[in-house]
Amino acid sequence: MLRWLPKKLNKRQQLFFQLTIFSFCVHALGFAFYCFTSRQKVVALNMRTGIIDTETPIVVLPFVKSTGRLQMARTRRTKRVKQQIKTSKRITPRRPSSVQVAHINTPNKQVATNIAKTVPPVTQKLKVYTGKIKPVTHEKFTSEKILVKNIKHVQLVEPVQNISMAPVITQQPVFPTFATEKKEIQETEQEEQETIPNITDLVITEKLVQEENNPIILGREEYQMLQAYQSLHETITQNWQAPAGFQPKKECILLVNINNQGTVDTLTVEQSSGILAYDIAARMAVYQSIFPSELKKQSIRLHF
Amino acid sequence: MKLYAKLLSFYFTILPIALHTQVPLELTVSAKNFGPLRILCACNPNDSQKLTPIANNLSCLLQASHQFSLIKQNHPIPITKDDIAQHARNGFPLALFLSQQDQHAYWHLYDTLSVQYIKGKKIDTNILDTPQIALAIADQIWPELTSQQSSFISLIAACKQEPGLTKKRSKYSLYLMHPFLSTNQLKHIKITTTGSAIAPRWHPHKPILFYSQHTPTNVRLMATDTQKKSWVVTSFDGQNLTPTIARNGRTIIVISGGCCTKLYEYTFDESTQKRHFVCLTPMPGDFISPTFINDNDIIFCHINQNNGPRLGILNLTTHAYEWLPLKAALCPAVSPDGATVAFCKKIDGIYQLHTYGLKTKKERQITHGKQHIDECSWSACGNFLTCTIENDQTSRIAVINVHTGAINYLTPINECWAYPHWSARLTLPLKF
Repeated sequence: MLRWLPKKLNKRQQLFFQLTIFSFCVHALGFAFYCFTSRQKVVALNMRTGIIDTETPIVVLPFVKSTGRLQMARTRRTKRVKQQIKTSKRITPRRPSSVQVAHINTPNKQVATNIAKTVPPVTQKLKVYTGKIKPVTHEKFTSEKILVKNIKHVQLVEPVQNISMAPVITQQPVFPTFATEKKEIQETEQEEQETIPNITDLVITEKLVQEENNPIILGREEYQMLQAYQSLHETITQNWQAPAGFQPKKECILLVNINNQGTVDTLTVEQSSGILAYDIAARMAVYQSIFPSELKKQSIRLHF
Repeated sequence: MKLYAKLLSFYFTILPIALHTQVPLELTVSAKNFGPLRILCACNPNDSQKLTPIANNLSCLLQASHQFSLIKQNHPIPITKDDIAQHARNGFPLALFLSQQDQHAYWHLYDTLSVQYIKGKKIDTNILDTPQIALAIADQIWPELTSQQSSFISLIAACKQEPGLTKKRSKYSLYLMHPFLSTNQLKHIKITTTGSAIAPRWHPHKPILFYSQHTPTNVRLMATDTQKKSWVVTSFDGQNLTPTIARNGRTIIVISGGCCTKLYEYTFDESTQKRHFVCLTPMPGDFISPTFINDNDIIFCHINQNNGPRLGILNLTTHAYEWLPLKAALCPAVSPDGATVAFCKKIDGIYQLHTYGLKTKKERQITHGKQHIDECSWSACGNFLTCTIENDQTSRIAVINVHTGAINYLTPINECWAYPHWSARLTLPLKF
């Protein structure tokens, strides 16, 4: 089995060694599976630079858990995002905010258009795209060149103006005559992240980064987490009434453990600001805050 | 075999630890609202008669900056942690307990949120009266809460216009007042002077007060101390005004003789036992209001022949001038840390109070009212400024919070006061 084993080992030792290696491989696979399936519902992100600008429009993808765009949006707010165009050079066209895109998996053009009509009235405009989406530039993007071919996935994209007013599409579109294809759509949900180049392989050029009107595309988990962070930030900001006139040279950093009821379980002062009154006001604000349900049994580090 | 066993044991110990470690989420909070921090001032019920006046004075002092709110109640000194935690549940993150025993007053400060004892001290009540006991307590508590020295043990010297021998000729009398306590709590102290006294200036680190006194022939510079002794400092022809003293003892005096007002440095030659006055500003124009920035630089106000004021910095070693980019600025006053200059500047025809950072080169307007501001002076802690606010016919002494712009008047509206100057930190008991 293992030719590289030292020949001095007897059969019993060889058997034990092989069992050990086998059990190690099994445990490693189990560990990898556990890490993949038991990820935290709320993604751990360092938000020290604050929430992203709420005036920036946000596009939520209900079938995608996370896009990684939130982290990029944050860095874009404080620094310039250095552009890095991938070798495939897939640059999404700059679509106007009122346009929604639906990809319908059907070989028949007439059926596809009928299905498009059954989409809920929330969508204002609808365009039907072909199967293998060819990379198009902004200049070449015209509706006349779009043909209906084999399309794989259904995806509704609704732009929103701000977080608080963001309606999230939670209902899947209805396909009355294609029940089997609906199952295929659900089964291939994981493949969406690989086969939708518009989102996962989206590359923002430096010019687009500078334009503030470009929406930030988020997954549903990221959006829920962002809402939780926003509500937490507002709650603590309302409760924190710092005495005026203090100019601490250091931040007051508090580590808070939250219990099941959404209140503070333990609070530790990791770093003091050097002013006792300032630290006490920060601790008061934390004790008076009720944390959102998404952050139960979590630990949060607050910088004041 | 042993190596394999070690590998397996390592694997099974590290794996659970790696699975259960969580990286905490982080959030940065910025303040939008400002409010005072509540402090419970609990007097021992057995000594409430003696402690209540002290607590009243204490609340005036700690609430002067609007950073704290003192609520007075009667509670005994806590014995158990539950007693302290109960105050946290009642909404008091800090609790100050006062008690008196024999000839001493005691104070104890607690952090009720974490149920921890912060600090406590005793004060000898034989030497001090009620308001000065409160001053002592507040002066000891303030560094614990704010990590800064307080200005509670300091006085403001100012001049009050009083009727003179005739109706037309009124004179100015020199008074000392506390910046945070009212007249009812600590009465104004009058410095007896024979003539009219103006432009008081405190010694930076001694309890000596300089002032200029009118005589029939000139305006001479006088000094007085806590022993109520007065002596003549300089009596040259003309006006002898506003001395400024550095930490190393270097002294500069304003003397106006003839046509212009100049700055003179005072030195004493011990070998010849003679005083020397060296003119530092030979250029034309009037030089007034000198203040030391450090041991080697002074800031002053220069008024040119067209009566245009400007601020400048003079280096005493190189005798080089540096003019600040501030138009029509008057009455400079340097903060205790030497980083900021307060001055008065005309904005839309009204003199307003401004500050200018000597390192940051940034100017900030403090007041925005419709009354003229004049003659500003910094507190010992650097958080307050005292100045004269002029009405139509009268002027009042006010204390302004530099950070919030809050104004607190020390004198009534129907009286005429001028020339305020804030002392450095003094020692208790305050006697003049």
